[in-house]
Amino acid sequence: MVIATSPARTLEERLKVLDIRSPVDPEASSRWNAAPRLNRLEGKTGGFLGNKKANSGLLLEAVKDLMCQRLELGEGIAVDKYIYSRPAAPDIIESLADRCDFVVTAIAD
Amino acid sequence: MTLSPVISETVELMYQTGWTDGLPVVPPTGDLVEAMAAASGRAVDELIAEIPPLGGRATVERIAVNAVMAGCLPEYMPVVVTAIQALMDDRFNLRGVQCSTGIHSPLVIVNGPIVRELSINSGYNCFGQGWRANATIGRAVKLALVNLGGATPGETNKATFGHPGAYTYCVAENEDANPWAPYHVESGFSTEDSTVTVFPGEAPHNIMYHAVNPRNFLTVLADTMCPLGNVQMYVMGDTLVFLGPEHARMLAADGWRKADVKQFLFEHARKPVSLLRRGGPAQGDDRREMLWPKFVDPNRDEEMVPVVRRPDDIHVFVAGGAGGPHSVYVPGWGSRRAIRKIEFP
Repeated sequence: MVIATSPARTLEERLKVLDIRSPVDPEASSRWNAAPRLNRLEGKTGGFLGNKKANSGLLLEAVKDLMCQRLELGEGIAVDKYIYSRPAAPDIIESLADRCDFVVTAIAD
Repeated sequence: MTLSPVISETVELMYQTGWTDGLPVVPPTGDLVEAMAAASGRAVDELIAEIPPLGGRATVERIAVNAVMAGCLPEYMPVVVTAIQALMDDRFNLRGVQCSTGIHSPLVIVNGPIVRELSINSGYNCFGQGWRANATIGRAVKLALVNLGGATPGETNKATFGHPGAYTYCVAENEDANPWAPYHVESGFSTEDSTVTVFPGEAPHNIMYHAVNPRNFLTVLADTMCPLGNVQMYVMGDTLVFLGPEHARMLAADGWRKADVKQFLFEHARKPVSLLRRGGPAQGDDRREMLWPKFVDPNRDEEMVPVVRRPDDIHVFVAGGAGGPHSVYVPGWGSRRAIRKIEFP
């Protein structure tokens, strides 16, 4: 008995032949859209969102300084989340969205 | 006719999907999924949760797919669904647990009549292998968390090590061996209720104590709970103890109530500020205060810091097989346990 072995068939086709259901939400990834990319950073305001851990602050401070020096950012705004293990609070997100052209974030334990 | 080519091909096909946990899974065919979903008593499209960090929508059908893959019997489905509901309790902080560099993974603990009905192991080797309900309920929950939550190791799951419980981590309380009220009754449910408790747990740490002095035993247990490397000494949260039947019986026979046990552990599972300072500042940031209770003066070296902020943050269960002088401690992650009644719609 050969069940779906034809190498010409895609994985999806073979799963369909066997009536195998998916354990994932196929639309989940598409709900997370990357922000529009900027063509140039000169004069732009960048946000640097840390997770409130010390090494995150060090990393982002260094990134901010490098970007300001080399890419001639207009301004760099460093902000920390309130709680490292939680998403940034809405007021922080709204403030960054209002003030910044782009945001860089990082984790560093 | 031999089944071997069919079996091996199907197993390999499932690996190609990227949906497994590294072990072979039962192929979730339509008929198996429909039977699993029906056993929940809910509509297949009912939304149970949106699982972080990815936010995958965990409908009854998708949870059923993961349960089939894990090897569950359909009658396990209400426990799996309830565990996922409980994990969404904000105090548990599932997003953090799923993404942390820490070692923790959700532990599922079942109480009530359903333990006997489903034959969930609460006795010998209850954290180990050999029991279908424990193995597959815990595995179904974990598969759903990864497949729907997107917590793929090395990607959004940044666990530095993980532990074997990340495959499956499910146990029941041994209510027959519990000299006190069952955990869920202590938590406000009735003896007729069945519940699921979830907890972000490290692997169990064994405590051996062969003598029969309750105070000495609790001193040994307390010492095991407060090593300098335990994350809870810095971030607090809830913590779990599983007393073995022999130790629980010894304590109860000597007149110890569970509240007394918790109070003793709260007062003795402590380390001085001077030693804890060697562990460095909380989360590496010395601009922040420790997350210790207010009654601890962080500027006095001799002050003793408890492993949690309150006695009731120590959750005491009874489990394990008879005859062994062992208990286990399960360190937490800093967030809270959640408990939920199993509903049968």
